Amino acid sequence: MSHSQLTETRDEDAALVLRVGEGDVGAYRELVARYAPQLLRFATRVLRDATEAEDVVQETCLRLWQHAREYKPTARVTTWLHRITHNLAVDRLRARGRLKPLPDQDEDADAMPESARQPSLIDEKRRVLALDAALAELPERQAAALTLVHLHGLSGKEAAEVLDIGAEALESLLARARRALKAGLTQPRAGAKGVS
Amino acid sequence: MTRPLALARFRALVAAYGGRLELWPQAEVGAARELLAVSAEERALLEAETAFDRELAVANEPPEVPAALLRRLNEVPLRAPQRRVWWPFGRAWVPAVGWAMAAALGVSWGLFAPPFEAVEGETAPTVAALDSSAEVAPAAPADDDFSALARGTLVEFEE
Repeated sequence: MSHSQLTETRDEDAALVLRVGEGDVGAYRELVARYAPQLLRFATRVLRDATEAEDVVQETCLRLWQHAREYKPTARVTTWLHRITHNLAVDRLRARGRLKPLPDQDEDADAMPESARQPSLIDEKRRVLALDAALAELPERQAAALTLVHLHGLSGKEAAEVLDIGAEALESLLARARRALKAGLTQPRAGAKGVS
Repeated sequence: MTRPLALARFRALVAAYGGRLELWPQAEVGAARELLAVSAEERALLEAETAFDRELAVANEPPEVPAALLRRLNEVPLRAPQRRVWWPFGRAWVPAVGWAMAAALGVSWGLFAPPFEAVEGETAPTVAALDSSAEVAPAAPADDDFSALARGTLVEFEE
């Protein structure tokens, strides 16, 4: 996406949120159509539970509808919505005592095989399945960071804001997530259905 | 002239953000491009990560939202009314605290300010002075005096 396209989308999204703040149901549904798929994937990556992820997305959309007037255009709408989703998901993880501590910095690096630098060529469908399986095995925070930056296109600064961490911590999460994914793609685990 | 990027920093950025420079911190992209222009090894590293980015891109299509969830999401405005904004000028507690402080200041001024009688005592001599000056001032000339004056002037003129 070019810079001008990005700016245009940003302005369009902000205008839609302003309209939602004025009670425009059509604008609300337009934003839902744009962002619900991303938010659902993000919540699923963090929570590892489809039902809970759906509840979190519904709660996020409820907040969009009820708090649109509080949106400040200093942040992109996508950052704002991802942040709400992340906070709600983390609240649920905390409530269930499921928030895992971050693994040690080198834990994944040791596990990374040398061949991870050159992923093997497998057909596209199998690659998607392998990626999904590898993503599902990442720790929540690594999965969240990778999803935000590499799948949803947020900048490092925006992703750090969503996750409420510093730039260095984000870079560390991203690097470990990429290493683990490479390892997962070159050595599909038993959990990757239809890949082995 | 951008500040040169250390190799270690470049590799850390590649490892984190991959080959898409638009995802990198803006402040470091210029220096990264300069490094890439002179280092074949760093270019190879970036290309390897770009290849992995392409692998990631196949998973970039978000899943479809289940129809039942989409229906629930679209019904949110029908089930949950928007909150009415009774104070549209930002946080309401700021003016509320301002008004409360103004009221407290007014009440404390009323309780602790000097009593009104003292002020009245200070003004009394001034009133008395005005009264006495009125007594000392010469009386205004009567109408007869003016008539005499007029006549005298006429006499002097005739003489």
